[in-house]
Amino acid sequence: MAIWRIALKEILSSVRNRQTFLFMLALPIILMLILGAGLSNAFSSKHSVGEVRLLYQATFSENDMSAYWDSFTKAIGKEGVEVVPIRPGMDWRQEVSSGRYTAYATIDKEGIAFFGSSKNTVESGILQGMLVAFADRYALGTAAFQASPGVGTNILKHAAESKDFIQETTLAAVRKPGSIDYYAVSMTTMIALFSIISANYLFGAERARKTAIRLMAAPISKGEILVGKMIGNVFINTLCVLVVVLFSKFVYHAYWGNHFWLVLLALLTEVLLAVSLGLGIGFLLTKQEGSYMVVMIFLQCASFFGGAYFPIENTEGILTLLTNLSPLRWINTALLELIYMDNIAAVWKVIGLNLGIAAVFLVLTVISIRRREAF
Amino acid sequence: MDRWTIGNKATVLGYIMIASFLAHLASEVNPWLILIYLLYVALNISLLIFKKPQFKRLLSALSLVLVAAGAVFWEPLLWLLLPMNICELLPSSTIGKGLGIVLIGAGGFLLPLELVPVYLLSGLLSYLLFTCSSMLSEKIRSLEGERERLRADLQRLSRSLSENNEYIRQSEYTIKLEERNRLSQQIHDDVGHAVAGALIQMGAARMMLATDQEKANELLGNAIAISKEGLERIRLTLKEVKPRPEELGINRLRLFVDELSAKGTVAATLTFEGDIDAVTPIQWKIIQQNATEAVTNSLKYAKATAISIEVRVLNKFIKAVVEDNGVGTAKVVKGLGILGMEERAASAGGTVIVDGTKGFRVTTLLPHRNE
Amino acid sequence: MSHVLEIRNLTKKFGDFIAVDNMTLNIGEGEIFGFLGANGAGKSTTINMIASLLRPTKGEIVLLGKNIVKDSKFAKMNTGIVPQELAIYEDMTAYENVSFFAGLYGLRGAMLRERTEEALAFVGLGDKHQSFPKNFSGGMKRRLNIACAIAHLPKLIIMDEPTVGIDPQSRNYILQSVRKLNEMGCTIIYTSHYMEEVEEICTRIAIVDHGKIIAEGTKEQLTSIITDTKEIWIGFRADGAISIESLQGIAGVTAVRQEENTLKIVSKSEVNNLNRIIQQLIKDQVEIRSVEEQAPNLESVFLTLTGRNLRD
Repeated sequence: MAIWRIALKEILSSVRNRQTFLFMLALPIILMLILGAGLSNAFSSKHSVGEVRLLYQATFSENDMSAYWDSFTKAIGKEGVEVVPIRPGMDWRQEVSSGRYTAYATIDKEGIAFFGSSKNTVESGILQGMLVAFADRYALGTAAFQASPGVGTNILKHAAESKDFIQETTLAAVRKPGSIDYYAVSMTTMIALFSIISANYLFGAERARKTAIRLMAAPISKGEILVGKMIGNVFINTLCVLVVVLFSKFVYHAYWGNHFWLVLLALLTEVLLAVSLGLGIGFLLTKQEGSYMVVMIFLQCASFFGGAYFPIENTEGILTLLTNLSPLRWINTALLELIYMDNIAAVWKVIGLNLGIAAVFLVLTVISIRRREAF
Repeated sequence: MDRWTIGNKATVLGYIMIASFLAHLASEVNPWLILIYLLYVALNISLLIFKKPQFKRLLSALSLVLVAAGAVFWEPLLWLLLPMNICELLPSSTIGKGLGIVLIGAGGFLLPLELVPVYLLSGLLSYLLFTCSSMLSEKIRSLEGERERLRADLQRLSRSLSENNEYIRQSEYTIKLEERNRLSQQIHDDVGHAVAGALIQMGAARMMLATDQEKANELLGNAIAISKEGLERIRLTLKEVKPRPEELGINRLRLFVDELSAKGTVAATLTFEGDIDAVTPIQWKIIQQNATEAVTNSLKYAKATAISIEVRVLNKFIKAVVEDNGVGTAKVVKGLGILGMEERAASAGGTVIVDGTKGFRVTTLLPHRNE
Repeated sequence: MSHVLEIRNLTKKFGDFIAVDNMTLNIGEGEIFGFLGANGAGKSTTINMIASLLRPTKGEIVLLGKNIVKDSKFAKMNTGIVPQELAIYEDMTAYENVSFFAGLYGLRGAMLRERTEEALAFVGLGDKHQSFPKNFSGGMKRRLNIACAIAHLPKLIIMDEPTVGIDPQSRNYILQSVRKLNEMGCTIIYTSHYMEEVEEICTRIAIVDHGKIIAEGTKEQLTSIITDTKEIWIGFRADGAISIESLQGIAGVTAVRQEENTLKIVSKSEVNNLNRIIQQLIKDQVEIRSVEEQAPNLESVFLTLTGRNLRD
């Protein structure tokens, strides 16, 4: 009973606190609009394939093969792929890494070795696909040739002249997030993480107002106070997140995918994570100012590295580590995968991770509360 | 004890790592397994850091779960680590110990057959080591506690002995001094006069003996009477030599203050107010001892230049204050000295207040007799 | 007199520092018990332990026959605390504040409403149900602070400096409320460093210094620790002879001396003989100019026993 009273009081106080409400509702909605409109170019879902140039070195032992290779290069040449044999003195690594060529391949009787560019991933992917298809067919052809030369020649010939190399390699274009879609997700997750602030202040406020004295003197356990406050806080923050989600969905028409309930569940676990994180920090660093500073720095770093303001991709070294430390990073990635690729497993993993970390911090909080005489 | 347990764990863990490595010599080491090893080491080392048994239990339970998970998913050899955590988790009672061996034994039935012998060997050895070391450390702890108690007793007794000796010496000395003073005074005042008077009379009698025998006779009779009276006075004086106790009390304190001033390091003063006679000898003893203790403290720590002792007899209380003008301290930490003063005061139903805000001030409050 | 609260050998240490030192004390039913002591004497620590806000290091506190650590729920149900500092929610109305805290004591429904209204009416905020405390004056906030502690009708109310920093009017109101609560059967523990307040309303007082109770008793018992005499100074017009002998015959009078135009009469403090003295003087046709009674007060008791001023 006391739990509900405390939860209700917490909700009442939060609702009366206009600043919080403005902060938790208006900020994400406005940021979504600004960032979504301002950065829409960065999120074009079409990717134009640039020039595709293959540098190769071929050592053929059989003439047959060189003939097939030639007809293959001709066939893909028609598709716009420029195939250039390596000249002596050229360093293929430099050529590829400088971007003059998309990829480098060596062809000999052992097979095809392919070195793609990490810069133009799409183009080098296309090339790789073509070469794989070529190699497969050639292998099939030679196998057939040994069994029945006529059929084999036929296959090989057909294989070399066929134009369907490209069709083999193109994937069906998936739906990609537009800018408003991206920011709908990233702002919502960010605002859910911002629950840390209010959770961090949950007990600090009681201490500051001295009402902690009354709570401690009342015939209720510390556990009831903690649970009541958590319920109230989680409820109010979830409500804010929900409003933001619904607003983006119905007003901005952001795309939230086919697993809407799962998205909401993931967001709920994120709020839980944030609330217990805030509580934990609040109890580990009792000085309110210090605690608040830590929370704000953590939030800003987490938002930045987690891709709340702009998507961060292709990171290296320490940056990768930093981005991976941000809860927003996991959650955003998982949500985007869920919404655009229907990857449900990724979301469950993140939900588990959220709950796990939330549990760890709750345990820390409980230990700290038990050790302490007052709040 | 902790060191033995951790050594035990390290040995078994080392065995597991080597055995597991040799068994899968060709394949790559499983990173999960390394994580498990590291986590196990981390958990069991942090076990040593925490003092509270609940945390120890918690960490041990975590380590148990970790080991079990590791054993189920990756490396069955990890089961060997289980018995030690079981030992730690169980209560240290006889039942707990009995339960431990049952649990460890029961674990043997659940394992793959080829692991059973080595599991039982290491499990039972660990169990024995753990029980033995916990028993021994328990014994050491109780012995140590006893020794501590004995040492405190000894200290207390020897302190009170030396205090008593001091008191005896002091009072002997003062009594002697007083007695000597009194005697010499009395002898001078009364007996001296009497003897002188008798001498004069006798001298006169000798001169008169030839000329006026009757007068001489009278003078001699006078001398005899004076001498008799003097003798009686001597007897009386000797009877009365025991000084009054309250004089002893305040005088002893005065003596103490004079000695203190004579040493020259501090200026000491003594004031008293009220009906000093109302203070009983026992109370004087307490006041004297507390004052000595407080002054010793002041000289040792306070860097004071002046110490004042005040004895005030109020309507229901006797208040004795020792105050210095030294550095004082914001928070008074009770040492043996203060505890001793409190004990003494409490024996007479009183209290001691030690204040360090403006120099040290030790107030002893004693109620009038024990009402 | 049965004991509402028994404190036995209570000790509280913060590290090396001993805030409360082996305190033993009984508080009987219907008392207004005052704790008197300078800041840092251990008053608040003691009170916080009684209110279950701090755990005793040693010793025990028994409330209505039950140990407050073992039967903490029972103890908390029967205790109300008015903290020294305001402990109210600024963003909730007066009614919501009282109702919330009373609700934590298991009150609900009609009962909760009734008790909340009673408590607010009791402190004179019956017409301010829906106002927010941020619009209240200091005295009104203090009164709300009290209302939050009494709605669950506790047997023992602890008031820690409830009159700090408010106007005399509110202060009188609060003192009256304390008396009224006491008449309704509440036992009250009251701390203040306004000596007059303590002298005025407390039935029994404990003087606390360095965590110890130095003396306890009624105001008269405490003053008698120092002395059992009082001095009456009577100023008169300096003509005509004054018969000191006739005054010395009056019961209680122990000494009379004349210093110029003032008679200084030393008398036993427990004997009320001022009337007889004055009657005697009038009979002797002495023209009285002024009468002054010099009796020791708690402030001087405190100063004498501890060597400190209360407001050090």
